[in-house]
Amino acid sequence: MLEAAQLGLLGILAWPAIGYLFLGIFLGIVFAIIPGLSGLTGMAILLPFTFGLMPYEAMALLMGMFAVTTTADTIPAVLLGVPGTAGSQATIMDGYPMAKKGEAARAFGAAYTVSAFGGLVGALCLVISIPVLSPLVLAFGSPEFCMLGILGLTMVASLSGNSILRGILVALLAMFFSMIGYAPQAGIPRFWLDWPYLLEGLHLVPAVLGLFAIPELVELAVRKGSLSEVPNMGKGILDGVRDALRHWWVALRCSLMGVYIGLIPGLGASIVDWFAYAHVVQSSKNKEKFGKGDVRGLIAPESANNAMKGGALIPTVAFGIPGSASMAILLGGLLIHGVYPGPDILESRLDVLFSIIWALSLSNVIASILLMALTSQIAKVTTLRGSILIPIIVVMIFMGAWMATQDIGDLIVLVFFGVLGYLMKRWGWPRPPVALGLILGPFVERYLDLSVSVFGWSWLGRPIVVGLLIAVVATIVVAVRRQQSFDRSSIVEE
Amino acid sequence: MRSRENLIEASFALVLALLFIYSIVAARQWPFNAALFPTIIGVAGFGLAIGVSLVVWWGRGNNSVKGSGIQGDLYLEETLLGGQALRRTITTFAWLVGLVLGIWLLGQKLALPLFMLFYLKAAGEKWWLSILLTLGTVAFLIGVFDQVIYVSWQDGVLFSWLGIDPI
Repeated sequence: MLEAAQLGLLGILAWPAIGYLFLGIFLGIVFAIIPGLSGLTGMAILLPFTFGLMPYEAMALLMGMFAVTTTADTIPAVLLGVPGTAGSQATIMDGYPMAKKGEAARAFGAAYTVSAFGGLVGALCLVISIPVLSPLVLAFGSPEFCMLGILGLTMVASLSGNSILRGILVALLAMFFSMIGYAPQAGIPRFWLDWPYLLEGLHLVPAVLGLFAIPELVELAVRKGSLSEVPNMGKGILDGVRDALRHWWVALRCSLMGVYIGLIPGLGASIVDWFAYAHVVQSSKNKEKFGKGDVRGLIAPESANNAMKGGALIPTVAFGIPGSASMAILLGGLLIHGVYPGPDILESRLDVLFSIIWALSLSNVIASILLMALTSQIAKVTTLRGSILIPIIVVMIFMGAWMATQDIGDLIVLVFFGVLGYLMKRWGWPRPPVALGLILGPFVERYLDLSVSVFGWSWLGRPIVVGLLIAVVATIVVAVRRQQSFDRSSIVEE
Repeated sequence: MRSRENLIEASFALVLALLFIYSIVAARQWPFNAALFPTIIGVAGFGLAIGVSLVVWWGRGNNSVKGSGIQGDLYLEETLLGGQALRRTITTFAWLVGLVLGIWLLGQKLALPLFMLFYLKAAGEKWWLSILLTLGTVAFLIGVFDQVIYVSWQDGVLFSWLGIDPI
C-alpha cells in the first residue's frame, strides 16, 4: 500500500501531470466563480479532453477541477450573496452578512483554511475508511434512505426559528414542485400545465439561482450603493485563519459529517452544506448570531462541502456507485482509461486510486493558498457600485440558469423563483427548505415507492427506520421548545 | 392587531393550501405508485397551510422582518420596505421580466448586451463605462459560452417573424 501511495504521488508530481493539476485548479476556480457553472459543468467539458492523456494526467486534470470548486465558490457566495455552486448555498447565510459588515477578507481566511482542512479530512477518510464503512452503506435499504431524506428536510426546516410551521410547509411546497414532470415510476406526466418544458421537471439550477440570488440582487438595487462600504482587507485574512483554528472542533465535526453525507448516493454537494449549517446552529450557544455574520456559520458548510468529496469517492471507487453526477463523470474518466472500480482499482491499480487521493489533497491546499493570495484583489469587487455590479450579476445568473436545459423556460423558472424568494424573504419565510425539498423530493419519492412496493407498509417498523423517525420527531420537538424559550426571553427583554 | 402584511401573508398560505388540494385531486386520476407521493404531500401540506394561515391571521408567530429570531435565512432590512423601496423593487423585477422577454424576442447575444447598456445608462453611468462593459459582455458571451461551452442559443422569435436569420 505504501508503495502504491508513493507511486501515485510521484505520478501526480511528474510533468506534465502537475501542469494538468494546476490547469484543473485554475479552471475549477473560474467555473466556481460564475454562478450556475458548477464543477459538474467543468467536469463534463473536460472529460473529452482526457481521452489522449495518461491516467495520472487525466486524474490530475479532473480532480484539480473537481476539488476546488467548493473552495472558490465562496467568492460569489460571500461577496455577492450568490451561490457559485450548489455546495455554497449555506455559505451565504453568514458569509454574505460578514461581507456587508466589511469582513469579507476575514470570511475568506476562515473559509479557505477550513476548505483545505475539510479536503484533507475527506482524502484521509477515503484512505482509511473503505473497509470500515462499506457494511454501513450496505445496511441502508430503500426504507432507511427514504427516512434519511425526511430527517434531512426536518433538520433544515427546524432551523426556521419561530417559523417551524412555515419551514415544514415550504419544504412540502418544494416537494410538490419536485413532482412536476414525468413520474419516474409510472411515466405519467404530473402538474405540467400543458407546457412541454415542465415535462422534464423543474431544474434545480434556475430555481436555486432565483430563490437566493435574485432577492439579494433586488435588495442591492433598492438600497443603491456598493455591497460593502468599508471592506476591511488589512489583517482580515489572518483573523479568519485564527477563527478557523479557534473553531477547529466545528470544522472537524462538519468535515466528518461531510464525508458521511458524501458516502450516501444521491445526497452530496447540494445538501451537505445545509446539513452542516443546521448542525452547527443546533449545537451552538448564542444561536441568534447565526444569519447575521457568525463565522461558525461559514466554517461549518465550507469544511463539510470539501470533505464531502472524499466521501463521495468512496462508493464510486469501491462499489462503482457514483454518488453524484460529478462522480459519474469521474467514473467515466476511469473507465475510459481502463481502470475499473472495485477489486481492480483497490488491488491491481491502487496507484491510480492514490493519484486521485493525492490530487484531491494537493488541489485543496494549493487552491486555498492561491485564493488567499488573490483575495485582496478579488474582494475589491465589494466596493463596486451596485449599478455596475447588478447588470454583470444578472448576465451571469441568466446564463447560469440557461445552462440548465437551454430553454426559455429556464429563465421563466428563474424569475418565478426570484419573485417567490423575494416574497419569502420579505415575510420571513425560510428559503433553505425549498432548495432542499427540490433536491430531496425525487429522492424521497423514489425510495418511498420502492419501500412500499417491496415491503408494503411494514417498512415503517424496521429498526433503523424507527430510529430515524424518532430523530425526526425529536428534531421538531427540540426546535419548538427552543423557540418557546426564545419567545419567553424576548418578552422579558421587552 | 391584524396588519395588511398579515392579511397578504395569510392569503399566500391559503394559495398554498389550494395548490395542495390540486395535488390531491389531480393524483386521484393516476395509478397508485404515481399518486402516492402527491397525495401524502397534498394532505400534509393542506393541513399545514391552513394552520399557518390561521397563525398569521391572528398575528402570532411574527415573521423575521422585525428580527424575531429566524436563524436559517437572511433578513430583509426594514429600510427596504417603504414606499420608495417598493417602487424600486417593482422596477428591478420589471427589468428582469423585460430581459426574459428581450431574450425570447432577440436571443441572448443581442438582448444581454442591450440590457447591459440600457441598465447602465438608466442608472446614470458614463457612456464610456457603459460601452466598455457592454463590449465585455459580448466578449464573455462569445468567448466562454459560444466558443468554449458551445451553448445552444435562443433564436429570437422576432427574427423568425420577420423572416431574417438570427444573430
